[in-house]
Amino acid sequence: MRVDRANNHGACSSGERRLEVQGFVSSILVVVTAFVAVLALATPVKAQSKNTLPTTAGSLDEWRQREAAVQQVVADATDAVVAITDQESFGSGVIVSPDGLVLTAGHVILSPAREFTILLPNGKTAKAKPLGKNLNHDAGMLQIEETGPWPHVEIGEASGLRRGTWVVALGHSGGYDLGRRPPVRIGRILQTERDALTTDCPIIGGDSGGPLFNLEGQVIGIHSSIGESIAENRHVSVQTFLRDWDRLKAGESWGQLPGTRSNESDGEDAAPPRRERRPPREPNPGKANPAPPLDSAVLGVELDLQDQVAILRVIKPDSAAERVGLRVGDVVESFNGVAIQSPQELIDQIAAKRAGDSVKVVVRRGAERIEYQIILGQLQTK
Amino acid sequence: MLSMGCRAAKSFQLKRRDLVFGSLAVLAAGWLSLGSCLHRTEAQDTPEILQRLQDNEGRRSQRELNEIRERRVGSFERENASVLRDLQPVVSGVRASTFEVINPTYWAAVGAVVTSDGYAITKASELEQDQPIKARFGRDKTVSATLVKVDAENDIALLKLAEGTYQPIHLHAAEPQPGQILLSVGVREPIMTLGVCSCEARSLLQRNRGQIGVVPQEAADGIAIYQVTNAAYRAGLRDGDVIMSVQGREVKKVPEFVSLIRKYRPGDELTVKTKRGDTVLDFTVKLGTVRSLSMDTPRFEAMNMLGSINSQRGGAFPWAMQHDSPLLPEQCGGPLVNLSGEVVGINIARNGRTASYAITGEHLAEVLRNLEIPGWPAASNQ
Repeated sequence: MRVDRANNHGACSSGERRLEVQGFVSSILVVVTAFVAVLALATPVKAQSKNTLPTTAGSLDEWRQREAAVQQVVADATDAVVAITDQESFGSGVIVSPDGLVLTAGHVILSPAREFTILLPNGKTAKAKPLGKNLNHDAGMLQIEETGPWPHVEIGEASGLRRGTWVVALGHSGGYDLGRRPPVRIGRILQTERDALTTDCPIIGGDSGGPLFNLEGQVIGIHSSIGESIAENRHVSVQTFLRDWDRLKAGESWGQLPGTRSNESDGEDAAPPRRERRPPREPNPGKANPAPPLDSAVLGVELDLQDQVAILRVIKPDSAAERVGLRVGDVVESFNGVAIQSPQELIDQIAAKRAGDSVKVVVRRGAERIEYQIILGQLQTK
Repeated sequence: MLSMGCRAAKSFQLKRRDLVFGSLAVLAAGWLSLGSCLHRTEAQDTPEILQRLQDNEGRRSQRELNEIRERRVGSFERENASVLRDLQPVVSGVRASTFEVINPTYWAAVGAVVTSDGYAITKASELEQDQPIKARFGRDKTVSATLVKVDAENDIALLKLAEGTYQPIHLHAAEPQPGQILLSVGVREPIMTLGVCSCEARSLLQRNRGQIGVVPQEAADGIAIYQVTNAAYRAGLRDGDVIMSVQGREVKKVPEFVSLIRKYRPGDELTVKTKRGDTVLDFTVKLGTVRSLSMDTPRFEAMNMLGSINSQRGGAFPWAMQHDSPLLPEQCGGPLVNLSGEVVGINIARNGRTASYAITGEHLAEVLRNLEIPGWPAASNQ
C-alpha cells in the first residue's frame, strides 16, 4: 500500500468521466458532541476500466426471509441497545450479559469520568462503571452497577463473515431520543480485517459503540468511525473483544487511538506488537505521512480488492514474490496452510506475519497447481 | 443539468489496489471536540473535511456534489445494480404512477399521481414555484403541470398534470415497522434506492413543543413517571404514578408516549388517566414550553453531510417515518413501497448521512384529504 501526501479530495477532471482519487479516505469516529477523529486511511484508488462482478442477490422469497430476519433481530436486540453518556457527550453500547456487561467503542469512554449513565430505549437509566479499553482498535467495556437481569444479546463470530454478508446496525444516532427507538439500518460487509469490519450500514455521531449484528441477531461488531463516502462505516470486530476479553473486563486500558495523543500508557497491547512502534503523530494530521511498521511482512504483489479470488495483479520488482517466480495472473489458493478465498483473506494472512517468516504458498496457474516456499521480505522504508 | 442524480450512470469504474504488506490501515488522525465539551484543547486537530464544510457553512462545490451523486456502487454493496434488478418486479405496478418533476429545466423531485385525471403530489420545497413545471414519465412521455396548492407544514405540493388519463397510486394505510424493507420507486431506474424502516413514524417537530415535565419509563400498566416537575407536577402528578392514557389514547411504549406529547403545543390541555397504587386518577395537564432539544452542532452537521446531500427542508415534519435509503434531494417526493409493492409512503426528505423521511399511514391520508383533491379519495382508496 502506498501512502500519499495528504490529498483529501480526488482530482476529478470535470470534463471527462474519469475519476482519479489519490490518497486518503477520511474516517471519523462517530460519537456525538464529544470526540471526533479523522483517520486518514491511506487507500490509493486508481481509475480502471470496467470491472463488474455478478452478485447473487436472491429472489423475492429470499428477500422476504431476509426482511423477516432483520425484523427478528430488531425485536430481539433493541432493548439491549443503550445510550452511554458522561453528561457531556453521547455514544452507544450493547448489553451482552444478564448482569449488565456492556460493549462499546473505546472512544465513548475516553472521558476521565469514573461513572457513566446508560439509558435504555424503554426510558430506564442506570449507572455504569467503565472497565477496560483497547484504544488501538477502539474497543471498550462497561459494567452496569445495578443488579440485573438486563436485556442482552448474544455474541457472535466474525470468522464466518464474507464480503456481501447482510448485517444490521442499531445505535442511538445523534444521541439519545426518548421519542424513538435506536434507528435500524441494514447493509453488507464490504471488508473484513482482523480488528475491523467495513460495511455500508450508514452510521453517524451518537452511534459510536452501538452494535452491528448478523442476521442471527448476534453482535459481530461495534460502531467506530466513518469516512467521507456513505459506504465507509467502520466497526470494531467482535474478534477484538473476544481476544482481549479478560484484559478489558479486568479494567485494563491500553493503546492509542490511531494517530492521536489521547493514549493510555499503562499497559501494552498483546497483539500486534508492531502497533507500538507507530511513529509519533505529525502536528497536522492532514499532512502526516506515517511510515508503516518496520517489521511488516511484504510479499511484493498487488491485488485488486474487487476480484473474487486472490489473483496477483502486479509482481513488484526485486520482491520475495518475484524472486521465487510468482507471476501476474497466479491465483493464490492457500497461504501457509490456510485456504484463501478472496484478496482480503490473503492480505489478512500476510498481515499476521513478520518479515523473515517462511511460508508455503500454493497458487493455481492455468490448469497447474504450484507450491512455493517463500521467505517474506521487509518493507523498504525511505 | 439533466445529468444530476444519475448516480447509476457509471461510465467509469474504480478499483482499489493495495500493495500487500503487513498492516493495511496506516492511520493518521486528529481529535476534535464537538459542542461544549471538556476536550476542546485539541480542537486544532479538526479534520480537514469537517473544517472545510464548517468554514463553507455546509456549501460544497458542484464537483463534490457530483462525486456523491455519481458514486460508484461496489459489487458487494446493498444497492448494487443486480440487487435492485432482482427486486424490479415488486415496483412494476407503481412505476406508471411515478414521474420526475422537471423544474425549471432540471430534475427537481419525484412525484406520485393520486387521481386518474392527473392530480399528483410531490415535495414542495425543492420546487421553484414560479417557474415552469413538467412531469416526465419514463423516457418519452413528458407532460406539463401546474402547481395547485401547497401544504407548507407537510411540505407537500399538489400538482395538476395536463389533461389525460393517469394511473393513480393506491395508499396502503398500515405504518411500516422497523426492519421492513422499503424501495423508492424511480423513473429512469425502476428502483432508486433500497432501505429499511429505521423507526416507527413520529413527530419531528422541534420548535414549539409542549412540555409535560416527566421522565418516562415503561411499566406493566403503561408509562411510569419520575422526576415529575413543571406542568405535570402543577397538575398533581407525582413520582411513581403510571400514565395509562393521554387524551383517551392508551400508552404502552415510551416512544409512542413521547411522540404523542410532542404533537401538542404549549398551552394545550391534555386529559391524563393515571394509576397511583390501585387508584385510577384523571388529571388535566396544561403543557408548558420546552426548549429545543436539538443536539445539532456545526461539527455534527458537517459530519452528517459526509456522503449525503440534504434536502432543502430536512425536518420539522409533523409526522414522518425514518428509513435508511440513501436518497438524493431530487429523489424525494415520490412513492415508497414495501416488498409486496404496496405504497406505504411518500418520501419527503433526505436529512443527513443516515436518515430519509417519508410521510406514511393515516397521516398521509389526512394530508391528502386536507388538500381537498377533486376525485380523491377514489373508491379504492377509502
